[in-house]
Amino acid sequence: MNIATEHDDETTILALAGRFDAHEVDQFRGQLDAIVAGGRHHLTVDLGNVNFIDSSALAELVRGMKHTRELGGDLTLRSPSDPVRVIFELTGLHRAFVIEG
Amino acid sequence: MIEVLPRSLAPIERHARRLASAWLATGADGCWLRSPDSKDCLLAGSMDESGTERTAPLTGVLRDWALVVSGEGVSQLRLDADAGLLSAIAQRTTEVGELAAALIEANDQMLALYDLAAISATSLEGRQLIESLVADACRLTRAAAAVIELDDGTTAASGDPDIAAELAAATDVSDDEVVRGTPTGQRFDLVSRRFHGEAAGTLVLASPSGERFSTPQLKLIDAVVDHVSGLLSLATMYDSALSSAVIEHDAKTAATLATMVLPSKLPEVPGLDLAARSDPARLAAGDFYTWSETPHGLVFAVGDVSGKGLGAALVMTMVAGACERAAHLAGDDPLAVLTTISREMYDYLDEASVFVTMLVGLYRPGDDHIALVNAGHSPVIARNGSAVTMIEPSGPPLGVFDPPLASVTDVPFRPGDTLLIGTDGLVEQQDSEQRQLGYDPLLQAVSQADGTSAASTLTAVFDLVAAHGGEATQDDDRTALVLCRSHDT
Repeated sequence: MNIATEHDDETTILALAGRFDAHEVDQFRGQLDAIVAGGRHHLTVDLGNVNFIDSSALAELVRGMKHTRELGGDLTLRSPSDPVRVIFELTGLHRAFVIEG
Repeated sequence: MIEVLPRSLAPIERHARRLASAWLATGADGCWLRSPDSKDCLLAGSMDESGTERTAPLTGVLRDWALVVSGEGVSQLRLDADAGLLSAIAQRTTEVGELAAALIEANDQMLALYDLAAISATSLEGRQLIESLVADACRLTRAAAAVIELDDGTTAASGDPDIAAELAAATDVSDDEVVRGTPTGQRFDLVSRRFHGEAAGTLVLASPSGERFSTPQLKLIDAVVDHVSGLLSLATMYDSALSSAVIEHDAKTAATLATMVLPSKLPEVPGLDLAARSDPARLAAGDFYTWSETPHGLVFAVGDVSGKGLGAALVMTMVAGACERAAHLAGDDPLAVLTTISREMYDYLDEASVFVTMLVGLYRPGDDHIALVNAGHSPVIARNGSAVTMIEPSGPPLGVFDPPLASVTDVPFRPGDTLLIGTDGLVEQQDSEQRQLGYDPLLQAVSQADGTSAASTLTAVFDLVAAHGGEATQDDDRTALVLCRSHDT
């Protein structure tokens, strides 16, 4: 999985591409924790180019969401691809996240 | 004049004395050998100062010596021939001696090679193996000392301890380099060879004092290094196979223990037929099902911990235990059961960054409906009469929020109706071309269920998933609980 990072004024956008599964969780966690440790607590994860997501990856997104909310920020999701959107609906997690687009 | 011949002349002494006797028999006065420092060693007759002396130099190993005959009419031609003969005998004798020594040395080396080859990587513990290898490498290459240093810091030395100590400091000598070094002030060749593979390290050897490693010896050193490297790799692989076997055994035990939390005894609830099955993708599953008979009815649950393997199985056993406790505390309301489980487990799940998709249900004996709370779980498929519906989650999985955001759904459950609660491993099973089974075949299987036997519906569903998977590996844990409302109540 590829992770491209882009900083706006307040928000950091992580654009993911590829398969987001248990093998990618460590990489994602490392980048996310580094950004949050750097004082940026408003994150947007772009899932437009993610074609598969598994439960470990969902759990990691939930962790990031809780962590940023505790710090007064948030982790929002942007334009999930169709297969990913279905997974969020099947797990009821679309109710837990703010999803744009 | 000396009459006892030096040791170096021993090989030719007998022949020289016979030749000298022949000279005397043909009229000479005396015959002797003259040493490099002009001392004369008498062979026969006397050394008459007044007589005419003729001299013929020896050659080869006895060069600088000369054969001398005194007397009248001594033939220089004959004398030269005798000198040539003695030189040749001495030369051949020396060569035979050297050949014999080389043969013995070769034989010794062969025996040492045999010893080296006979070391079984598995018959010795790591420490003993490396010590035995360095001793053999030292002996085999006729080195004064040898040191093996592995990259993990293990070292072993053999030979002269003082030189070995110097060698230990020189293991960074680059490969294929012969250092004409002088450790401990004496002249040595220092050869260092890196070896790679499972156990990487360096073998350093010092030649005996004042000697140098010959080209054949350097080749032998290379062969020894290859062999040592091979044996160490084999030993390392053996050790790691052994420890994986131990880990695997532990994992199997843990998996067996984890699976034991799944209930094995079917509940006896009037009007209800129940069947359940869980097939882990690996040793242990993060999937579970459980049920408890309470005064209010049968509380049942199916769950799936995010992630796979032993870690997920460990969380699973805790959640399954919490389910049972919650069923007895709050068995009259499935949402209260879920909330109770969440209260007990939330901090732990939050800390571990895992969540659990979960369906909790309550069936009161004789009722024509069943109460379900779905926290992010799928698939949940209900067949009521001829209608088949998916029960969507009313909130995210356990561990995302506390208290959980979910609500109770009442589903009709009349005689002949069927409820299937599976896990995503059923619908996400891929075939050999990576196409997932999907929900439709599962909905169809439930719609075709006979409505009387939960076990036969369960078997049909698992067969369907297995047939779709074909030769492909099982991607995820497969679990399902099937409830049928029987006719005969």
